[in-house]
Amino acid sequence: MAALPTLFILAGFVGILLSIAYLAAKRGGEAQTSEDFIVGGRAIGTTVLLLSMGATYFSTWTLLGSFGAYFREGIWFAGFAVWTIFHGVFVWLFGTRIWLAGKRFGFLTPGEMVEHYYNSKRLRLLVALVGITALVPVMLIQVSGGARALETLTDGAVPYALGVTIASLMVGAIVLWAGFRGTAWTDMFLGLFFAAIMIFTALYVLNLVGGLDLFARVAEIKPELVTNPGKPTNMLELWLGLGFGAWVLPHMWQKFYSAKDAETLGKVAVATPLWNSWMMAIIPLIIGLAAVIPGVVPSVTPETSDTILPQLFAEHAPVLAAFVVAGILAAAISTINSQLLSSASLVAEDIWGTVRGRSVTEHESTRVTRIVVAGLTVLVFVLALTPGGAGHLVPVAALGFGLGLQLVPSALGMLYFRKITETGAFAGLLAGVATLLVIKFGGFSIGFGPGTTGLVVNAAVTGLVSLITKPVSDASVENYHGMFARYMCADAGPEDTPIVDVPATAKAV
Amino acid sequence: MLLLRRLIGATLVTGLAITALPYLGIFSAPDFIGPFPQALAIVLGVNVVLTACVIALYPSCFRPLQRKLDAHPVEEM
Repeated sequence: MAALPTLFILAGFVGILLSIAYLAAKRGGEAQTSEDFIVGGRAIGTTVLLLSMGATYFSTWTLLGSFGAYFREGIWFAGFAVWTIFHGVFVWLFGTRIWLAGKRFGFLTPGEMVEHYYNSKRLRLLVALVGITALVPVMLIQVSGGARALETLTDGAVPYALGVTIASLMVGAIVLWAGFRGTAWTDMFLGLFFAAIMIFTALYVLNLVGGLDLFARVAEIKPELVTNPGKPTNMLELWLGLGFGAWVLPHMWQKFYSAKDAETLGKVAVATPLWNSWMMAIIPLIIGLAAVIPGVVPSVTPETSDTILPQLFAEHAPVLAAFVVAGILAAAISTINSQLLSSASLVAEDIWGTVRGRSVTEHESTRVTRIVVAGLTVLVFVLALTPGGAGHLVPVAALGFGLGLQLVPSALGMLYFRKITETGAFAGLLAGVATLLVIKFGGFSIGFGPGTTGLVVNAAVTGLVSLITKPVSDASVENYHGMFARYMCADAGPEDTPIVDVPATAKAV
Repeated sequence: MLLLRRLIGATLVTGLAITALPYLGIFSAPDFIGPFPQALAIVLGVNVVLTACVIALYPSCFRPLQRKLDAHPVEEM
């Protein structure tokens, strides 16, 4: 790949991102409140929210790994498409309830909601720690993985250290400068950018292989790729991780807080299957399987299948390969920036406040969040440059979604199951995380992966302990489950029925 | 509206169950339905139905919620 055009396109790409961040910062004004900085002032509209959620959820793994997964596993991996359809359903089932509670009580982090509902600082702290532990190593892997891909794809024209520097600087600058709004606006651009690459590539490849004859041709070459070999537990693991990860991880949870209104969430839900499933899951299916056909990606092997997309461009349209490089950077940055802002807000709001033993002020929250953003950016940068630093965290990063899954039972207590108690949620979360770690690092298996096994143990402990411990307060039940029932249940009466507010407990934030 | 919601819910669960069948050895034969392998055709067909269900959530769930919120804004505390 020619070095000069690649560097030129990357420079233009960085310039566009900085311009967007500048405009977002200007729009936000000088004196951003913590609500502006962390959840965009709860005023994010449909297009920005949809593209921001999509770009955040789909990381470099989509632009690199999913193509390889289809190449190696064939249509077995198509189950991925089904579960991403459910992301739209989850916006209704979980996202709308999270948004309602966030709007009513002014929450900025999941931990604030946990403390308010369960009246528990220790659970808030534990949720924040699990959330950060799930997010930070994943950010590191995004930076190091993206930089390595750039180095390989440009034949060293963009060395690893330069890739790490560009990604870290861009992410730190966007988040520090413009907060949530800058993150969401750049996500929109980045999402559109890599979506354009994917659609263009799919059309090109379909034309190359004779349209839908693709599957028949693959069947002649590798018939095992067009049948489903089963492996239901592997797919269950994938479904759970991809499904719950779309709403329970802190950076996705906070996206719901940011929505302008319920109608915005509805439009996002409607568009989500088109974006998440038909584009992000089905297009890699077409390209990944087409790579099996001789002549499409001649250089690909199972070992190099995670770089099918760049190899394809290098073979057929080298002049456009630099855009793929920028697309990979786009996918990495659009995921890391939200995770970075979310992790920093968890430290500022949940951990700093809990350790100090008092609520943090608006000014203090924004200031601490900015300091933590800068600190985490430097940490990720340094670790990514440390020989083996990223490598040591790979096993932890692989557990990111598994750790996120452990937050599900305590979240479901707030959103659906009023019988779940604070002690049950706390004990369940501890048990789930411990099980996950023991299975992962103990090197044994009971049929399911560490994340799923941890979730099963977590749910069982949460349920059992909740049977014998003190329930959450009546006020919490009314303020949450009562509110959800009055606003969201179809049989809660006609729309002009007055909604009676109940006395609320003191605001916890 | 309640009936529509129940219909959507039942379709979603049924669709999910159907897409799980190829992973359990059902509909996973090396046959083709049109240009698609059988197992993939099942997934894509169900995906179309599930997409329609998610679109139907807007008028059946989100619109009524927004109307309730317009009539009685959630109390900000």
